[in-house]
Order: sequence, then C-alpha cells, then structure tokens
Amino acid sequence: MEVFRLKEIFILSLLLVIFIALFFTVEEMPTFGDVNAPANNLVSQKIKEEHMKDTNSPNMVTAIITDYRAFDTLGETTVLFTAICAVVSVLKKD
Amino acid sequence: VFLLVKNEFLIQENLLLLKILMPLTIAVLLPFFHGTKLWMAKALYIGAIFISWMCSVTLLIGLYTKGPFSYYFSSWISPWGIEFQVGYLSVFTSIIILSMAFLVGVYSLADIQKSLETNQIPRYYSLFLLLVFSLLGIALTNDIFNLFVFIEISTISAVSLITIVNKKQNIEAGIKYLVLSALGSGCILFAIALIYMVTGNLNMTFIGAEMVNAWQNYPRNILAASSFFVVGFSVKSAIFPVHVWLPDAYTYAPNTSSAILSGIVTKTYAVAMIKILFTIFGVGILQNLAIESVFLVLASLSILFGSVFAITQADIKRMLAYSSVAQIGYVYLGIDLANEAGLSGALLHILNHAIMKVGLFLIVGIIIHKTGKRRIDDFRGLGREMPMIMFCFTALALSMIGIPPFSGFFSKYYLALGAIEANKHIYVVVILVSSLLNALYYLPIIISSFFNERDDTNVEVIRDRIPKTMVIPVLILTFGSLFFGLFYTLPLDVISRAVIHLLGQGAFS
Repeated sequence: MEVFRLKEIFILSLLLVIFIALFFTVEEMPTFGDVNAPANNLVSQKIKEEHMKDTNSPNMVTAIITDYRAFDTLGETTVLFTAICAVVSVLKKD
Repeated sequence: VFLLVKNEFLIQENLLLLKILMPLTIAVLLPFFHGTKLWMAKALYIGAIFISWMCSVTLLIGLYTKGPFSYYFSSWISPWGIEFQVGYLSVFTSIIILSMAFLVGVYSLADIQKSLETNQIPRYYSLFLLLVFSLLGIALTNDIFNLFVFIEISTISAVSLITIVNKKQNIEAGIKYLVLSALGSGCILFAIALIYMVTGNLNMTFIGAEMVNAWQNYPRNILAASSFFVVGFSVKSAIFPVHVWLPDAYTYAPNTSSAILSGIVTKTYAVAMIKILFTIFGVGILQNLAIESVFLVLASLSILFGSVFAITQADIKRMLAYSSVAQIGYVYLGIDLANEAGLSGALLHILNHAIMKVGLFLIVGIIIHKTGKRRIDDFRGLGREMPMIMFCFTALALSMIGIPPFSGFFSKYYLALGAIEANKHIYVVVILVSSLLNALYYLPIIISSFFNERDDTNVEVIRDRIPKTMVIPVLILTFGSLFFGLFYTLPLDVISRAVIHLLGQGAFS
C-alpha cells in the first residue's frame, strides 16, 4: 500500500513538471493569425498567391494535398492500406 | 510543347523512383495471391527486393562518380514540394535495409510455412514489403512531415508482423508495441508541429537555415520540440526506460520478423534521429540545449541494463532481445558524442549490428526449426549435432562481444575513440564493462554447446537436413561479419563522407 502511494505521488509530480514546462512553451508561441509569425513566410505566401496559376485548382487545400505535397497523400493512402492489411491478417481465419 | 532540359541525373532519378516504388507496387498486388500461387508470392517478394537492391547499388556507384543529388516530387522545388536526398547517409542506410530484407526473404522461403498458416503468407510478404518501403522512405526523405508519414506506415506494419501469428501472447505483445509506438508517433508529430510553427518550413535543410533566428525568438518552443523528438524516437528505438515493448515482441514474433525488427527497424529510427539532430538543430544548438548529455546517460543505462537483463534470461530469443536494447544504446551513445569518431562508430555499428543480430536470430530460428529447443540450458552438446550452424553462432557471438578479427570490434573501437575525443572517459569504461557483460552471456552458450556432453549418448549430426535456403543467408552473414572486420575501411569510406556533411563541414551530403 505504501509503495503504491509513492508511485502515485511520483507520477503526479512528473505530470506537474511537464505541465509547467508546456505552460511556458505555450505562453511563448506566436499569437494565432499574427502577421509576423514565422509560418507566414515566402512558402505559404507563394501558395496563397499562385496556387491557381500553378495547379488550376481554386481550392488551396486541394492544391496542396493533391499537387504540391501529393507524395504525402500517397503515403497517407498507404497508411490506410497497411492498416487494412494488418486488420485482415489478424481477423480473417480462412 | 516539351522543352528538352539536359538533366545529368536523369538515370539516377528514375532508379530512385524504381527503388522506392517497387516494394510498394508489389505489396499492393500480393494480397491477391491465395493458396495455390504461393510460390509466385515468394518470387515476387524476392524479385522486388532484388531490383530495389540493384538500384541502390547503382545509386551508390553514381554517388561516387557524379556526387549527391536531390529529387523533387511533382517538380515542386525545395521549400514547396517534397525532397528526397540521395546522399551518402541515405544510400548507405537503404543498402543495409535492402540487403537484410533480401537475406531474410531467402531464409523465409523454407521457414515461413513452419511459423504461419498458408493463407497468411501472401499477407505477411505484403506487410513485409510495406515495412521495407516505409524504411526506405525514412532513410531518403528530407522533409519532416513526409518522415512522419513513413513512420506511421512502419509502425503499423511492424506491429502486424508480430500479431500475424494468431496466438494470445502475440496479440498481447502487439498491443503493447502498438500503444507505446503510437505514443512515440504522437510525440514526434507534436514536435514537428512546434518546429513548423517557429520556422515556417517542413524541409529539413530550410529549417536548419531558419533555426538560428528561431532559437533567438522561441528558445522554449525549440527545447520542447527537441524533448518530444527525443522521447518519441527513444520509444521507437527501445532505449532503456521505454524499452518495455521490445522483449515480448521479439520473443513471440516469427523468427524472420524478430530478425528484421531488431536488425533494421530500430536502427532506421536512429538514422532518422541523426538527420533531425544534425540537419535541423545542428551541433551548436544541441550543445546549448544540453540534450545530448541527457541522452548520453540514457544510452549508457540502456547499454548496461540491457546486458544485465540479458544475462538473467533463460529463453534464447528473449536474451537476444535484451541484447538488442544494449546494442541500440551503443548507436545512440555514438550519435550523442556528436564528433566525427563517435558518429562514425554509430553508423558503423548500425551496419555491424544489422549483420550480427539478423544472423543470430536466423541461427536461433534454424535451431528452433530443427530441434524445437529455445531454452539456453538445452543447448548443451548442440555443437556436435549441428557443427556448422553453431560455428556460425560462435563467430557472430564473438563479433558481438568485440573480438578483433570480427566487425563488432571496430564499431566499439570508434565509439571509444569518440568518447576520448569528446573528453568523456567515463563512456569508455561503459563500453568496456558492457563488452565484459556481453562475454558473460554469449561465452557460456558457446562453451556448453561444444564442450559439454548431453546425457543421452545417441548424438547424430543433423546438418544435412537443414534446407539450403536457410543455411546460405546465415553463411553470407557470418562471412560478412568477418569481411567487414578485415576490410572495415570499405564502409568507413562511405560513412566518413556522410559524417562530414552531418557535422556541417561540407556543402552538401
């Protein structure tokens, strides 16, 4: 019983340390929608302005997932295929 | 109107695509091969891996004649599209991955029916090829989100290579692996999000360029991101406090799965960690973060505790599993010394450990296949029954301990040089103590198998009845261990070129 108590205290104090660390991390993050945020750089500006010319897709998200980063999408579909294969190999008996 | 642009890397680019897409294409086709076409499934697997391997070797030759190059998917250049970098590190890693996948594939031709039901075999090869595809992706990509996609594929396929045997303990080990590995993936994804937030890039080279700015404005976010990377990759590579998924997984998985998981999967995550630490963060920021001194302690604990746990095991596969925890500790020790000799030692150990551990798991597989013995006590007198197999075991075990003519010595030698160069002599002691511990659990097996008589006297040599396809990969690996021990400068030449780039002294990989 005594050992169990100690383990709980240890876990809770560890979680508290992680909470404090993450709190100060979040506090330092750039504000959401900030014009000066590092993510608003040449990379995203070019996609915002030229996606119509580059890919003929009026939708910016479509332009990114099926053209600029199409290989990632191939990877994501492979994730689904792998998951199906894995589930079938566990469940199908015949 | 087509403009003919002269591209000097055209052949290499096509080889790169063939190499990465060959396993994927065959993997998608394989589930359609049922029962009667089993030999076709096997032939397709071997063929796909062999073609990929040929492409890799040609790429290595091209690397020496023409130098490294980048391939951009859908022709969107670097900050916008996804970049594959064909450098010394990535080609070196992919040759190891494909060689091991090929040898394990040849071994599995005769072994796989013993451990799996017939209808599962095409699915097994399919998942195996998906794992190889994802590991090649991890080795080649230069984009952190693309890296994460490949890590997802490798996690799911690695788990299913354990759970494909429908037994209670396999499912239990698989769930344990899946939960911990998913936690690791979550940590890595969170770290990638933080890195993107403070640098605005996903390409590793561009992140590296932005890092100096970001380090001044958002130091705490970068500290958090690096911690998440460290935790995520520690779970996936089974570093000491978070190695708990590994022993069960390796013990109950089919022999071919254990060999491949121990030999290349955990090591490829270590290569991903190398790329992230040295391309994204760079040596300067790493020293400021003091992340490597924390990691050095974890790696040392991993080396020592892995060896100590291995001594106490009664099951041979579980002993090899704990030994893998110790060996991945060596790799991380070399990475975190962050100097030329240490990093060379780590990369050399990735190669040597792949050869040694795949070989040992395959040998144990042959012994289980033929005699059904897996307790270390039952190995008495086994050297008289199967002299050739136990001779290979002896050679690989000596390499594991680090006896000079075999390759295991040279990686430990370079790690020790790196520790001395970094002025951290305590880690030389760690390496020496761990070599002694290695000797403590490998030597008794060798001695009892060759010099102890069994109680029953009718000992017969059963060497001849082992299928040739199982013996040849073991012989090649044993020979490889000796070859890379005698000619250790061959891999070291590729490694030193990779290391120069990683430590920021060269212009490009």
